[in-house]
Amino acid sequence: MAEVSPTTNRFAQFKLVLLGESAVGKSSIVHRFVKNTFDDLRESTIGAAFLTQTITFPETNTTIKFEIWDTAGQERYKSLAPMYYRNANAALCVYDITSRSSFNKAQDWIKELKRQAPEGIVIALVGNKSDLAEDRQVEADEVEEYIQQQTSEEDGNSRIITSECSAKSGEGVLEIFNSIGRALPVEEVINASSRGRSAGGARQQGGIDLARARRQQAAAANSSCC
Amino acid sequence: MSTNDNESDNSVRGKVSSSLSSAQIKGPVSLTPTSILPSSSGPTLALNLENVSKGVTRAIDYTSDQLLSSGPRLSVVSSGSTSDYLLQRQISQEEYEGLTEDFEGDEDDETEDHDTEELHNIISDIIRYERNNTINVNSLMSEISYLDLDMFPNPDGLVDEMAYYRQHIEPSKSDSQQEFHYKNKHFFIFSLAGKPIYSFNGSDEIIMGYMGILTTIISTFEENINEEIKSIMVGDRLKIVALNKNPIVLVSISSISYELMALNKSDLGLELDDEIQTNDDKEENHTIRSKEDLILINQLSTIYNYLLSILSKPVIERNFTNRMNYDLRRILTSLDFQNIDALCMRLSYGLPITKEIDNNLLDTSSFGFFISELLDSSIQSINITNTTRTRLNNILLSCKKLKIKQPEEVKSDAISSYFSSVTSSAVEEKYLAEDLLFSLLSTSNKILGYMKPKNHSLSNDDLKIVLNLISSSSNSLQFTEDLWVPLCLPNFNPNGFLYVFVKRINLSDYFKSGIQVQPLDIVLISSNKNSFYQMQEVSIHIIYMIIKNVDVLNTLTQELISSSKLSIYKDIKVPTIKHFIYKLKKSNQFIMNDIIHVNNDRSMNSILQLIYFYSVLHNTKSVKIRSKLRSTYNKSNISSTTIPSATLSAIPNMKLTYTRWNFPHTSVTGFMLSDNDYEFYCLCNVPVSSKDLITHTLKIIKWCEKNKKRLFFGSGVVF
Repeated sequence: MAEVSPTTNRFAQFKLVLLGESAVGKSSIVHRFVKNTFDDLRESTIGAAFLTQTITFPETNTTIKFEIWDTAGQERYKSLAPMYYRNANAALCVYDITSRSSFNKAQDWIKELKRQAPEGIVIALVGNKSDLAEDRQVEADEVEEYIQQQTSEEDGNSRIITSECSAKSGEGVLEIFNSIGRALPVEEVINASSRGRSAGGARQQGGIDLARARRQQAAAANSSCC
Repeated sequence: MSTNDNESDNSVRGKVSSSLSSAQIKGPVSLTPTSILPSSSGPTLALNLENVSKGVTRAIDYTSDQLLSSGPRLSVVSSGSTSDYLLQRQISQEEYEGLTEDFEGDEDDETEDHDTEELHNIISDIIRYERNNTINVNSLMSEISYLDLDMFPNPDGLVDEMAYYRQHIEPSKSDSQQEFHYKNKHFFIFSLAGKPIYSFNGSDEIIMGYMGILTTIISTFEENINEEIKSIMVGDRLKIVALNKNPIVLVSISSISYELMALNKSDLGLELDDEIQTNDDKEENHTIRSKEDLILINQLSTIYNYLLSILSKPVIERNFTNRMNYDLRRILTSLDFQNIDALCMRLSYGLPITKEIDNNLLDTSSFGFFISELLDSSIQSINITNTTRTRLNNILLSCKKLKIKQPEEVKSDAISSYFSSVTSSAVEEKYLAEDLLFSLLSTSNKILGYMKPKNHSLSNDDLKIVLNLISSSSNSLQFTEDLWVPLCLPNFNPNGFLYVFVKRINLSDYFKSGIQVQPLDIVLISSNKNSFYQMQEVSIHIIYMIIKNVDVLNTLTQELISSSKLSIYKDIKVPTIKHFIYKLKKSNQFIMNDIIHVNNDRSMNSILQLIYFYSVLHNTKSVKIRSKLRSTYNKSNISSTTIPSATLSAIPNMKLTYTRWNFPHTSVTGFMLSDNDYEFYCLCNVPVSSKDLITHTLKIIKWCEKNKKRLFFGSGVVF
């Protein structure tokens, strides 16, 4: 079943959510990824914005479509966050490398995701604004230390991807989405969906079956916060 | 009607610090019995004419009392102090009654002619007394600078429009006291405990002291005389107005002439803010006094509504109940402060906040917002054919009928089922748009189509909050993303949130040729915060319905392209009228033509002039503004003829106002005509005879009435 067929383009769809303190550059990362643009005067996001972008892995002839929830970082929208991560396959917890508080906030989000989000969610801890390295407040060692501590607390099966990027220069942005794409259970989804398709699900695309299984778990875990 | 009448009753009430001893503080019980005409109940005739020219004030009042006491003939009372002539017009009551009937039966062509004639007689009588100026016929209003008008204080006598803008208008958060004091307009928001929340100008350091003083004054009034302070008039050029929305206080300080005018509203039965409305007849004077502050009070209410829309009432109250000295700024974002800045700018000047303020083609949605506020929260509509509007409304309506198949295996799980709209194995059907309450199709802040439930509707103020949300996010709102925003609509329900889905579509994407068309916004308002995916499906359905039928797509696109130019200038010849506003009272919606018709630009200068002319035209009634006009025009050596208001209340609520501003090389004529159904305002910048003015006015009004269905979206479709 898992054999790679070189002639057909294999397709999978995943939900990804960006979380993090206000003004760390979540929307800028998304817009760099989706449109390859950067706006110095970007206004803060209200509520949340929904965007999509696809990436292709030529070596496996696989296309991944990301459905991205770019959420507002402000405290007052926090009650909406569960709706966005509840059925997410991946989460980008973004901090600003020039702001210590934003790093702490990103850690809070990871804590919340581990508690509330679907099991198996791919988490990336991303330090934005790497172009402002001279004002750096968060060192690579600290991030490493935090990750070690996280991994030792668990049984080690939930690795957190760490990375730095600059939405302004574009450096490192695509790489993050690529590594998330590689960490996602692409094969599982494609196989599951091809089974689903043969069962007659014309509109159904990759990600649904898997997501549903996760949703149910998540829903059970989350029933209080809805 | 002299200036003195008004000033004499500005008695100082309560204890005020000595620095404010020259100020007149108006509590809710102060009186202005003479400055406002009594509200008319029953057929009265009130003509209030004033002629201000070369330092001579001539004021003639036809008051209802005079009419009633003097039998069938009208007598004329002049209260002008140094009248060099007395305008005497004697109109028999029979004549007016005749006029009444004519207006009631305006279906008939003959009577229409008679209307025209009568109106012509009235207006020509007014105009006759103007001095003949030599006027350059080809002049544009762009030759006038907004600085020539008596809009703003100009202590340094600046003559450069941009320099004045930078110094006195543009909001600045700097540390400089001087910069702060130069500004024409201030807005403050602070908590009752005195914690600053927002200021239009000045840094925290600068504003802290002022907020302290304002808090002290407000709480002194509250505690010592159990009254809420409404406004403080400092001299005749500065007004402070407060709106106490415990636990938040909003204050505005204005030295803008058109904001210090009293509203000419004595008989419109307008909606007053809860706090200033009074049912007690004895307190009628209180209400009248409040009307003088209404322009600024309305501005503060709009800003307060914005705070409610993002936070909702319980959130604000909860935070302050826990701690009186709570800092509300903690839950506000930089975008909120930008939005309030933009709101203050629109409310005060009708201008956008932009770095390119010297651009000759500014975005005029802020101007539209200003006019909307001026006309009692009227909503700006857009000219599209009734066929297209009906089609769009039907598309919106069809969304409510969409069914989705609900898969069996997740049926028990309510939450998951929201996300399963696209799954296959179906056993049960449910409506996709079950949670959808309101749908809007809009373009450039104007509503094309509107759907609402049978038993609920959105007030104009709520609709404006929704439209504002779109315009404030329009920089980030791009065709590739869908927004999902919790929003509290205070008139609908101040205690809870609705969830707004916004998708912007670019119709030119569906044409091969490079057609440029303004984007179309799909706005879906849902009651369920988890219904994003359903709303997304609904929006896809709407787009599909628009583009699948080539006819719909083509007509809509063409109409959107031509909608900004009102086709009226193709349909009828009205060369004298450069700009007009027509407001349909029943639905409280208005249309106006593009400001570009006035000066061939959409510059700051043109916008500010229009704002001034329309404000004066709309608000004319104030004794104060007359005295100011006189003094300024003397100084600037511009002769002006202003006849603030001629009210023909004998005709069912028919009123007209004629105002003329004369400048060295040009003149501007403003004209307002209204009855029970409409309000019409227009501006002419070429010399216009009374006959042309009336003929063209009636032509436009007739055209608007004929095209009502094209021009207004009415009350939308109901599901």
